[in-house]
Amino acid sequence: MWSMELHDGVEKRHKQFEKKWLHELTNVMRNLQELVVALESGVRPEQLKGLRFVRSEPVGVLAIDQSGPGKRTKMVPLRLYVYPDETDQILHIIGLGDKTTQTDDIKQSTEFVKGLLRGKEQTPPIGKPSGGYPRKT
Amino acid sequence: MASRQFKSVSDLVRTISDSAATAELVEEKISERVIVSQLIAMRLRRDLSQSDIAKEMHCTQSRVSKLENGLDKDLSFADIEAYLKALKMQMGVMFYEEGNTLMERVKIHAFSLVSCLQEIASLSNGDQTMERAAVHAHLETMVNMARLIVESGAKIPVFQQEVQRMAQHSKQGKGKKQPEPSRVHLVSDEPLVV
Repeated sequence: MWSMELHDGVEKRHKQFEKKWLHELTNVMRNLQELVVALESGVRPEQLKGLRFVRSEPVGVLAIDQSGPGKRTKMVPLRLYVYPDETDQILHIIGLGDKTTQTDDIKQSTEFVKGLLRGKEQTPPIGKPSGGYPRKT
Repeated sequence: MASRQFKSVSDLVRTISDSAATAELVEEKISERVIVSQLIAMRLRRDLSQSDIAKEMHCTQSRVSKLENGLDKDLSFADIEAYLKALKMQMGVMFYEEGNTLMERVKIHAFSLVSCLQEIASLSNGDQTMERAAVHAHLETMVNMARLIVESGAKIPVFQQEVQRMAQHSKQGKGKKQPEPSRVHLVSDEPLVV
């Protein structure tokens, strides 16, 4: 079962957008739920691009937008940046922003994932010491 | 601030929103597309495009797109049936009493499971090969269900302690007169596929 991990900064933006763009923000959250439903159903992270509200960003980061059902109405473009970690079944919720912060948001999100992947590479398998097994002398 | 874990989007939104109305609005929007989101997920899992579905449904891709971008209330029974047929799936419908508790729903599913097993058992009709297959089906279900239930319980922090306490309690009661344990006779020595 997938769980969600909320990272620093998202809550603050959520509170800001709640006051300014409630309709768009609640659409983003509904779309997040649909992405979780897909993951729970066994959809692989690389298949999630098939969801109409998902945009693919570097290193596996996905951007969820505010598009909703029905006729397209003019809405403020918002993006929620997530990273599905298939190994640990954790959906990292890394960032939330609008058009004005898009470049920085993508940069920060990709840096976060790169760090996460580096950390995984460095973590030794259970039972194996980090410096490798001592050599016989 | 450290990261926090959530099991559902509703929980997450309820925790980080300033207003309870925001969480209610999200829940309302989620509830409007429960079936649609499941259908899309099943299509994606099979690596099928909207055009693939349209071909099977004998309609246009834009019709499938309209279904997927709409709300549950806009779906007809025939739409769902045709979409599922395109996915090579069948539909099962369950009816619940309004206000049924989760535990009551667990019981309904358990009875449904037993009903399926009884149907398998009835197929054997005296045929030895079929009987063996029916026994295997029962035992495989029993082992798998036990494993899944233990996996689910293991997510509760006190589950392990409670199981150990019950095992201890059972050991202490061993001196007392116990009812005759029931025995399962395996038809063959073949290993179970679980």
